[in-house]
Amino acid sequence: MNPWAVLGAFLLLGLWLSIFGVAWPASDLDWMIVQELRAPRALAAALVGSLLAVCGLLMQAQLRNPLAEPYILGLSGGASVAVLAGGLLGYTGVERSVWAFLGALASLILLFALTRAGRADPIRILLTGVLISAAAGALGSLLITLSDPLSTQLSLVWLMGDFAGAGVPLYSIPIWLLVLAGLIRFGRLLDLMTRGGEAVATLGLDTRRWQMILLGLVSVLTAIAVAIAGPIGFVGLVVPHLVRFADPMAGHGRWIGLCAVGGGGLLLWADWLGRVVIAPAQLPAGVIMALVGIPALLALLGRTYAAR
Amino acid sequence: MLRVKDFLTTLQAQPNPLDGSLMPGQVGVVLGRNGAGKSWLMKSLAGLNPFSGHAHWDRQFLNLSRPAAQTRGYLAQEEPRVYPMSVRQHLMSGRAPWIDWHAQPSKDDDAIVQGALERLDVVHLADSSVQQLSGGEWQRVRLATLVAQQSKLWLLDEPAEHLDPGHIWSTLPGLIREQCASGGAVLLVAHDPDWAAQLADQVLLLGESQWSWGAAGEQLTEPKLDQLYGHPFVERDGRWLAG
Repeated sequence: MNPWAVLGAFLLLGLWLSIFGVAWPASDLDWMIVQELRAPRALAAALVGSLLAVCGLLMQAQLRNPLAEPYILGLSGGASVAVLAGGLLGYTGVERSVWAFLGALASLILLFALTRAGRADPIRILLTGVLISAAAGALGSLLITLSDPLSTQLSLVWLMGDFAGAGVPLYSIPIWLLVLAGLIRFGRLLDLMTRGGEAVATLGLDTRRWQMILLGLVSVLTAIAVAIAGPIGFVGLVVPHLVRFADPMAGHGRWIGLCAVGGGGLLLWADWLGRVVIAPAQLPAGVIMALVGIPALLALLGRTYAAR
Repeated sequence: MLRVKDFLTTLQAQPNPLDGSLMPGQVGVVLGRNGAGKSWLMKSLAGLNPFSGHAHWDRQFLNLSRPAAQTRGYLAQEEPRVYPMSVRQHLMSGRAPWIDWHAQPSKDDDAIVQGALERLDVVHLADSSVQQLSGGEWQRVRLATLVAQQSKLWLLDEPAEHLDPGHIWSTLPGLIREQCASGGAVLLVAHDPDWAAQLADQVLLLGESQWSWGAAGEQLTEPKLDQLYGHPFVERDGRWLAG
């Protein structure tokens, strides 16, 4: 089976369900809901899923750690605390992305300081990330208690990773496609990096420079995702693993494309499921992803240990 | 020509600085006990560990720059296989020093990779994942990647590891002799003095009290090997037998 066809169909079906639902919209009111609420929400879910899956792939390649992912390693946590802090100071518009970036970058620097620049044992990196996430969670709770009751409710839902109020401008899609095209072109360098820092260094590549560029990019992309929908975990873990499993010989160029498609599809489905499983109440997409992602992480942990 | 002068690695156990050279066409062999610093020395020469003194091939200093990567190839003792990657892609990674970071591999690169696959007899594995290979196949693929790099100086850390006797005694020596015949040189770490003696022009003995670099005839003697390994060695018709 062609993985492009499977993931493409998965994405398109998810997009269809998220926008039109199971029944075709009939009345003018239905069409207004589709246009004003559902389409922006679906675009946001597709974009965030795509961003997070690609970030996961990039981090896993760069750190040569199959468990790496922006949420598990604390980048998303750092970004959300920074957004909450910015909110307290009155920054609630587009500036949220900037705050999120600073938070993600701070977490990343902390992670690197504590794990010998990411060269430590995969499990130790994982634990350090979990600790950074825990610290970010505690700090986030503190900030929420400091904020006024009205925004508390909104912040709590946002922290679960939710698309209810999310929407992205249409132009963000072509921009992301351009970035993707650039990344795909450099797939060769990512393949090279998975051979490890020493091998790459003796081949004359400036590993430190490429590491900084790549992880800086991951921080930016994670920050955009968090600013849109809050911290959502496990997309960056599950999708790259599925893609590498489905098409092992493709290399990073094609894996990036497949992750972008598959990640977008996965969050569309998670968001749609969250809307319908206990309707009329709604489950945040982040909760659905945790339900899917935690067993996946446990399975991967088992495999990582079995491989030793 | 490889020229090494006043070469002092950061290894505490190194008793004295190294001085020596390898002419084009020569093979140098590094011998020493476990933990003597053989791999450390190779890493230092490759530019991965800091050192004091000089190491250069002709006018090119051995460091981590791109011109250095075009000059010397380094085969590490091990390379973990974390993700799936096709054998052909692995070989293409050896072309990295010759391809600009923003460019894609050319037809010439493809042809060089194909030639290296054929040279190490791994053409049938070209589309397999490196993760599926046996230890010996993987070692041959890594050697093929080194061939694809087309560097003059090879630094090989235990190149015979995992290979079966046919590859140890014919493929690998053949490869090394071809490299030498084309004006290159090879410095390699070996475990078996007998195997090394068949190839060596120069020998580096990394002993506890002295690191020495000299011609094979002067270095490979019964008393020196006895002292190096703490185990008797005898020579019979150019073959070295452990007593």
